Amino acid sequence: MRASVGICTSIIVAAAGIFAFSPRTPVPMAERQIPVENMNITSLAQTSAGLVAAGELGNILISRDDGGSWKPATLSSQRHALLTRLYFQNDDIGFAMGHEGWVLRTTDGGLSWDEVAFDQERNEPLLDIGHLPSGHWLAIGGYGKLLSSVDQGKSWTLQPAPEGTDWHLNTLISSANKYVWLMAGEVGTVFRSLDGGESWEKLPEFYNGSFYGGLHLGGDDWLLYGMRGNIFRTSDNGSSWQRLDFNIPVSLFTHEVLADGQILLAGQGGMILSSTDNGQSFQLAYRGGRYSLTDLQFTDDGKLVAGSDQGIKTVSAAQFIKPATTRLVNESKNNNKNNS
Amino acid sequence: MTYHSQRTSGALVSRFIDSAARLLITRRRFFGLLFILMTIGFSISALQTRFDAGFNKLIPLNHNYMQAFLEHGPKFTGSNRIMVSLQWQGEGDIYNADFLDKLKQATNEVFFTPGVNRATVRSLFTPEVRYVEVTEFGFMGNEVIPSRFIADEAGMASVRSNVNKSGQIGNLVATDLKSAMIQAELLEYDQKTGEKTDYSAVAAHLESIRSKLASDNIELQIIGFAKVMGDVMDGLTNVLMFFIIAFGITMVLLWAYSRSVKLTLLAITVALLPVIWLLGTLPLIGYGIDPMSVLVPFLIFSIGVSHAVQMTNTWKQDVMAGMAPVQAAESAFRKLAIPGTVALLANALGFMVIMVIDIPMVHELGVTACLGVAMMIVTNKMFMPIILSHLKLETLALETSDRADTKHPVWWKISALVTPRAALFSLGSMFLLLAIGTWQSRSLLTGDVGTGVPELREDSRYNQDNNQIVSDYLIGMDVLSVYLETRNREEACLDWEVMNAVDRFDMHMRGVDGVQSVRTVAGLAKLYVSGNNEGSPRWRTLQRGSQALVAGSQAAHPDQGLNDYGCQTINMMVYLNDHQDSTLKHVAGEIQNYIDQQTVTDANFRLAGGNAGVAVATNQAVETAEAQMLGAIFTSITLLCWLTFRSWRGVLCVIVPLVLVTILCNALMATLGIGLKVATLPVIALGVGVGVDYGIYIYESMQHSLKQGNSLRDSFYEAMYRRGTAAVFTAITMSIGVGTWAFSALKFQADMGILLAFMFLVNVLGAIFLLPSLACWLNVKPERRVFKTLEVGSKQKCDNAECSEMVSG
Repeated sequence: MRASVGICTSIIVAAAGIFAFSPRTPVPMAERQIPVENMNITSLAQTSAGLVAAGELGNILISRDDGGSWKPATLSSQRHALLTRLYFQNDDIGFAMGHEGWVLRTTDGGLSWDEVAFDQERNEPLLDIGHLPSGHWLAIGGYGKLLSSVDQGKSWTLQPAPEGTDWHLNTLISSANKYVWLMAGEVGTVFRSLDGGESWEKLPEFYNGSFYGGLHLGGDDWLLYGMRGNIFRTSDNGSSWQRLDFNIPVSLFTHEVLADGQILLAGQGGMILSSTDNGQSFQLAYRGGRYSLTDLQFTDDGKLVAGSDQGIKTVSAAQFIKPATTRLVNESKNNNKNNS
Repeated sequence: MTYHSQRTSGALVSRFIDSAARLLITRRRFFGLLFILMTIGFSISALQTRFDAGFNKLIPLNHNYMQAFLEHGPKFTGSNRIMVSLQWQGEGDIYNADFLDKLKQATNEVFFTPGVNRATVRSLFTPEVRYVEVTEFGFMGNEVIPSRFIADEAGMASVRSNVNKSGQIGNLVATDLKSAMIQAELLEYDQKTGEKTDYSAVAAHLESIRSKLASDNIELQIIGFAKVMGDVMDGLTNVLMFFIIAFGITMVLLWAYSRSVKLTLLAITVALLPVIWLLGTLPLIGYGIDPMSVLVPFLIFSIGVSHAVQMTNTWKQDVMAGMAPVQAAESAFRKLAIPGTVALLANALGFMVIMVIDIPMVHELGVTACLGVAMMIVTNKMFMPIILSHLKLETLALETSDRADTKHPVWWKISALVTPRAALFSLGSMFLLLAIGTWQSRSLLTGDVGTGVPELREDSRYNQDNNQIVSDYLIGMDVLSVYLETRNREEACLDWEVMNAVDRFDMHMRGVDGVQSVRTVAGLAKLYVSGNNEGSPRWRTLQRGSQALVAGSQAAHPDQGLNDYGCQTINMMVYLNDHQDSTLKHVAGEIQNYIDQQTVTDANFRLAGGNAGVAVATNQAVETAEAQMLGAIFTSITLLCWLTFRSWRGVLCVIVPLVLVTILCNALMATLGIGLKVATLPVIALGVGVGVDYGIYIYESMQHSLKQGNSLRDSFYEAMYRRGTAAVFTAITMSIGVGTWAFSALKFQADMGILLAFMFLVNVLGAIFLLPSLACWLNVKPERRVFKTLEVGSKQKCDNAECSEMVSG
């Protein structure tokens, strides 16, 4: 009888020993996530599916909460090539394009994508796209690559570049009425079309570095920007250009126009420049860090989400919303959205 | 102690012991001379014993990860880098004449550090550190600090701008611009002499740079593998001081216990003998003293002291009973030959069991300790009686009264624990401790806890420097390398499939929790490609086709440490937030899951190298060994107890407190933030192996008295009276012997010291306070068959002298 107490004690101690020394599982850590804050994001777009981001290794991501959380989109074929540009015709239909002539098309705002072009033999990246008034589509890229589509972007054919150029073609922009077009790229290359993108003429050289982007400012006014803080403005549809007096030598890769007409340019050093005089002058508005901004996107709740080579950054946008000016730039805003 | 186990083969064994005792005493001159000559020989040999930092011996060599590490690790540079950071304490940032002058001096000093590969020295002042900028005319680049640099305002401005363009912020210049560093690689072998680089010399030189250049305005931080090695060697040298302290304290305690200078000196000398013999043996078998096996001399010394005490006591009692010293010595030998030897074998068991830990340094510890125990059998059981036979006791020691008629008040009070009420109280307290201990022990962590290098204390100079550099620069310290082995390719880094696999691995790992950053040849190649395209992020990619891959091929230069020539092996470096076991396990698990899904033609992924890779493998080895080791030690101890007592009650009385103390030890580790690792896991086995002796001695004595028909309380009192004091004395001496380690500069030695001291001390408490209560509630009763069992030992009829003071070892 008395021994049973001792035996029970021994059993309890033995059980405690086994429990104490049984394998200890450490506190579980978070599941693997897409490294949205540590990957190369080249382009952003707001669609019916939410905020869409694209970039490194062919990743397309969607956020329903304005960049709070991201999940991957479905791709019919994953080529692991860098995507360089998202372009949405409307809230649902859009394109993603990238290196090795890769083009993907979506009809549901970016949730699922079908591969419509891929060129394993030629490596040239596609860098920009435009929808011509004729209904045809034009895509441009590195080493003078030019593709066109006559079936809403469902299939693409290789075209000769204007004047046989083999410089990188970085940006394709149009006027609001889609009649005047500019195509700009490496070593100051600028082509202009005055007939809705049907024919192209090379503009006389006015700069010998690269242009990465540009926008139509309304009327005959345009802006082109590129490497080392070079910003050029024209008031005659590109016949003559003036270099703006801006002297921070950072390359500029993207732009965004605010509802009040304020123009933002962004690029290396995480820098954002701002112009409140329709691109006559720019001031440094934001200095991010050792990364390059690649795209800017305002969300519905007024946040500024930025893509960079080191992932998605959220920038406090308050400082950019200046008191509304009287200028009317709505047309230009739409235009820019379609061509950035 | 195994008095009763003698019954089976008793007669034979006792006859053998008798004749051995006779032989030893009659030929005592011969044996005495032999042992003295051996001691002289070993002492000479012991001078050859060398300290050996032995980092490679800490690696579980048979682990898959470590096989990959040993195969590929040496191919990549960067593992043996030293960094000397100068931190500006004054106003403003580093761009001032004073700081740059000091930085230049420091660069020169590092350049002339012994063992430095001079081609790899990097600082703002070395010509290899350049800035590059993309302009309309192509690349422009130059040295960050031109050779014609003048420290005026314009010069400073240009240096500041060049540094910004160089991409060195975060690497050679701190992110807050308050520090700048010099980095250099060390060579494994001196190119001229072919000798192994002397890390102590490197560490000493680096320390001299600190003392030379540090000022009110400038502080220096120095880190690197070589510096760790140097600091560990310094710490190891300090161990000698701890030994002297332990020696002194033990001597005082011995004197207080024996009241005899002669016996004190004798016990301590005899306890030193196996240490000397052991140190003399090590060079002969090609071992050195490494940071872990340096524990062994301490243990051997402590165990030696306690065995010497029991021998001198037995002898003293016989002398006081009227025997001549020679006879008393022979008698002591006879009485203690078996219990002493078996006690030592139990210790050896503890040492042997730790060899299940598949790590060379632990094996060496086990071998060294077993060797020491074997030597102790010779020195304590043979040499000592010979000395005793020549000894004459001083009067003071003889005055000590043997046994008073009145009961010893403390022990009598404690013996009340065998009464049911008191026993319940004691068991109740035990359950409380058990509950707290078990609960707390669940939060024990495997591996190294805390930041910095685990060898040294968290507040050591080195780890403070390390933390400062980690917070000032963007340099990761915990790296886990994954190797991609490629076959049948001339230049695997120009093969898109391989590079894409690396690229995807890079990106996958960036999303894993616990990963700080990833460095791979693909990631670097993409940066070069982008750089060749005006730094545009829209070109930061690896296109198909080797033509396109050539654009980034600079990244595949073996100097980058990310691959070998031809990219036969690609070293993908995953930097972790820390080296906590949870992080290591999680990341290693994620990597394993990921690479299991990958198929690359003629290539395969292999885990894992880097310090974090070693830690993952070590932690796994330790965790596997933990269960095996505990199973083995408790099974063998149970068996030993059963052989000794032939009673399951006896086994439980001894083992249950032992289990409790082992759980409490785990709980203590969790509380003190000591991780379960290579250094601390053996402690549990050692603690159990040594700690069981108290229980065995006390129960054995109690059992003996019970067999004479005494009541449980009287029997327990007897046991405590005869052996309690000795057990407590032993526990205290042994705890002090290892407890001095708590002050070691080496963190793992301190951890070992604290835990061993805990195990030695608390096990004696378990034996004193828990054993009787358990005996009570397990219904341990006096035997009726009085004296019946004692017929075997007709010659060894248990009188006071014999049974007393069989102190544990």
